[in-house]
Amino acid sequence: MRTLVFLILGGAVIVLQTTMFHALPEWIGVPDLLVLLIVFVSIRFDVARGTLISILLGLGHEVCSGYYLGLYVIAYLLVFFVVKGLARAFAVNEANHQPPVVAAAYLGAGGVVYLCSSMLADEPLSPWGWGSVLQRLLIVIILVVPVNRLLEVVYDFFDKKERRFMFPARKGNRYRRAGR
Amino acid sequence: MAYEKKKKKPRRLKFLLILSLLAAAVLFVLASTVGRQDFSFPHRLTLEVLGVAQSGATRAGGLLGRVWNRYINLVNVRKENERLREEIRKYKAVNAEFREAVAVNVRLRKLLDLQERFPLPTLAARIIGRDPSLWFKTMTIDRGSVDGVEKGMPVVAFEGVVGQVVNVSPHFAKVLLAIDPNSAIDAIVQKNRTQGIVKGDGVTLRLNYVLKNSDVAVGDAVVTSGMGGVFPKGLPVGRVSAVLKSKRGMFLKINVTPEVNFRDLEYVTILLKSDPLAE
Repeated sequence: MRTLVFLILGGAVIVLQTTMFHALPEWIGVPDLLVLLIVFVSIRFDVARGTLISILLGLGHEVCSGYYLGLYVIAYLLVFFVVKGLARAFAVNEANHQPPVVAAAYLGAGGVVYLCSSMLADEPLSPWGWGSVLQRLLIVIILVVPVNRLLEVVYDFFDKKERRFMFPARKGNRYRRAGR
Repeated sequence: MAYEKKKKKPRRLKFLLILSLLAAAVLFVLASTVGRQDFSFPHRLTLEVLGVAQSGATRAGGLLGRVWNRYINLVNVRKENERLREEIRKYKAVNAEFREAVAVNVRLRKLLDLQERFPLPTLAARIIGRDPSLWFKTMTIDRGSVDGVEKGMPVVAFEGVVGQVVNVSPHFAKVLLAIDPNSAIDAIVQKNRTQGIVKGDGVTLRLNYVLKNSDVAVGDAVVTSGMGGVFPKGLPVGRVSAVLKSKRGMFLKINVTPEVNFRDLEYVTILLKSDPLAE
């Protein structure tokens, strides 16, 4: 259930990034909410579900963006496993640790896609452009806390539903019933 | 002991399942990256699903934009109205000049029998999504293989060259814009037929491989040469915005401003060539 909800959420984010976000002023750019989602998934989901979500969201991203297929899947898988590894050793889910983790994830994913594209392309790509990259990074960092809070609310809501579905509460006092 | 064995078995199974899932994913990704760069079934399926959502979101965005323009911006309507009236007067005059030029052009073309363009069937498409990344320039359109769109088909707008189709799913397609660094178009400078290759740099265009002794100046029109086998001859590409002669090398550095404003583009036309050559 949670996996499906987060896949739908990821799909909605891709649609937003490729359609409505382009109407935003140029100085805002197109906020990369998908990286925030991948980082959240890395921290909160188990390996199997997280891998599935990362692959499918990477697939979704690459059909709408870029020229070479497969790169976003690789980048998001890499982000997923690195953050997952970090989450085992450090408390990356704490609010004050989120901005640096997300910043590293954003730069890492972008770097992988850019590096692989440069290697696959016949001619040099457009320059990396630190100015634009940092500008977008800043916007992503500003959005970390509110987006993360929202994702946590969604996660907890469906987690509770899932638990209630798997372990339904029995009505009445079963001990008293057993005593009779 | 037996309890521990029982506990280990599902764990091992789970580990193997994850490992096989990862191996399958890596194989799929490698096949996609190293292969022919065609959309596989999962890609096509994903684009079909996302395409429908993008189409809806684009419509909703357009509706919101119209509401914004009509009701929120009413404050400036009077000023805007006066300015637009003035503009209409100006454009009417320009339009009259253009009509005359077109009439002369048509007469000359008939006279010299210079009708070189092939009558290709065309297909109008709406742009439903744009590339959100910094380094790639692609867009998604609402026409696909069901409508006869194939990989490599040229995409144009009223103003000139837009790009070419790179991936297709049944109802949607991805277009590589001319300003993408992976795009290359065989072009000529219209005034003296100097040939070169127009490449994108992510923002604007560059005309490459033009010898230093060529006569190219700022403002010259650059059009497709028809030699690449993708675009028909004579389609406007852009105008020369800068010509730089470096001390080293044998070629000029020529910047070209595209005729098409890619940011504001809403509709495009696909030229349905029966045998697209671009791979």
